[in-house]
Amino acid sequence: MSKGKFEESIEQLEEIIEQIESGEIGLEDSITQYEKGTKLIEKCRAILDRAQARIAELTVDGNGELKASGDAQND
Amino acid sequence: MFNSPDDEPEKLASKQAKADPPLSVTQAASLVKEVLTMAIPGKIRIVGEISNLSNRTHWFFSIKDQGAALRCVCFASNARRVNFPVRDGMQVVITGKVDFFEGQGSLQIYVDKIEQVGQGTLEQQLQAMIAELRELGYMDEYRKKPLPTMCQRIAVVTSRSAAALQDVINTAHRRWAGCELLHFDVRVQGDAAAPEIARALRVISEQGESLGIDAIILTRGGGSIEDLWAFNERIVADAVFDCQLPIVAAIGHETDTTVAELVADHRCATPTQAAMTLVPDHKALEHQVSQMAGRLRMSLQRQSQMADQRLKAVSRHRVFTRPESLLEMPQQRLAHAKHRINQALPGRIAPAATRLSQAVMRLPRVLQQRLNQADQQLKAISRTLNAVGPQRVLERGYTYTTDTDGKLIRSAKQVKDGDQLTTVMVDGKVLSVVGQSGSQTVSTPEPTKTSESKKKSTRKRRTAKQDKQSDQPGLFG
Repeated sequence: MSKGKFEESIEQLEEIIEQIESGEIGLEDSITQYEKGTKLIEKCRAILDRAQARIAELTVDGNGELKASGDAQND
Repeated sequence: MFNSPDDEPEKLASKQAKADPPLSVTQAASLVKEVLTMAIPGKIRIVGEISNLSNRTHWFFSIKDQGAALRCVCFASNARRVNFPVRDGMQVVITGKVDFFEGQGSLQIYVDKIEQVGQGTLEQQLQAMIAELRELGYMDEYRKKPLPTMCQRIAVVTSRSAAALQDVINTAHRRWAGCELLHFDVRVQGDAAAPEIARALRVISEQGESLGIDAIILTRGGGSIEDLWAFNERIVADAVFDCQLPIVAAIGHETDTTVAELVADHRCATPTQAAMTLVPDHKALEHQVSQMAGRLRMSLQRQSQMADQRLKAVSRHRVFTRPESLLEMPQQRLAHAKHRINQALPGRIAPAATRLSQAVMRLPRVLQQRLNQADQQLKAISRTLNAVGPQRVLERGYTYTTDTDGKLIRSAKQVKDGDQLTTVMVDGKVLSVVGQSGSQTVSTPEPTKTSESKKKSTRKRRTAKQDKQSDQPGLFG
């Protein structure tokens, strides 16, 4: 199973912070990485702020294919 | 009317069915109770399996077999006398009185005594199945899949009408509304339940990832062992075992154990707990992201501060503040070198000067000595030369003769008439011509004196200098 976007973003953030903290990259590169990091944080926040509260129904059609359908708001 | 002592209960009932007016509920219940107590007057013994046991103060349970179930109650006073732990699924023989409990309209057996017979058939089947699957490695911890930490889509396999579904939905939305739930409706009870559950799990396992499903919740509310039996079927156990996606199972109450739960990757006591296990907590994640943002900001701040400090430190260096200081060191070295030269030079020059003046003083004397030596050597050589040279031979009275080319005449045969000859003597040369009748010599004893008079003859006068140039005597050559 592949990792989700959120987890990948968090891992990338960890790497970026470690790179900057260790001082193994120069200041210009750090700034580039920092900008990349802020974009990842925005991405993570966007995932977290998602609030569809969706309940989809899983059904199997005549061809044996799994379908997610009938998305409904459920509060 | 039906209380009359001479009437049989059956007759009363049949009379009543035909007659009006209708009986009240109480009357009907009383009738049932009366008929029952008359038909089964004393205590009876029943063998069956204990089910739905609730044993707090008084024990309430069912006794059942494949065909029927009867409600039982064992009051605390009797329950205390039971000397073994009573559990659901246990095969027992109960002794009690059958009665009708009008308040609930239900038939109940008032149990006096419970005797253990052995484990019940369903419980036996369950234990046998667990043992078999454990042997096959279905429950090995090492093959259980880790649960994703950040589930964004979860498939929920349960009945639409189950309270368990609502528990999962409520919990999921409370934790993080962004987590999507996909409900797969299946029956969770009855003969059709197990194949439906197994099919749902297999389809989600095969195609769920393409729909972005991260994990599965398999759940059902509480019930008797019969109610939950679908989750003990082999077909469900196989589907759980083969599933590619992680499964969290929460089936029945906490005390219930089903095969599906034991084979699942993770077992939870309740549907709510299952949702809590899989649905990420929004607040915790928000906190994590905020922490990350803070660390990121701090890390860059720290680095830029360090860079700033380094720049300041570098710009404070005397190279930039006092560039002239760059010259200080070379200047010092130069001065030092000068000083050393001044110190060292006199010491080195004085001996050389002394040696020079001494040499100058010695030179004329040595030179004179060398000249004298050379003069002596020259004189000695001259003496030797004179003793052996051609001059000395000539002085002794010998002469030698050459042709006009200065070539030495060694034999009379070399000359013919008319040839000019030159005869060299100690004090000069005589030129002569060879006569017709042998050699005829015109001699001049004093060539220098007769030079003028001999001009008319064939002789020719030559200077001594010319002679020397023309040839060297070959007498010794």
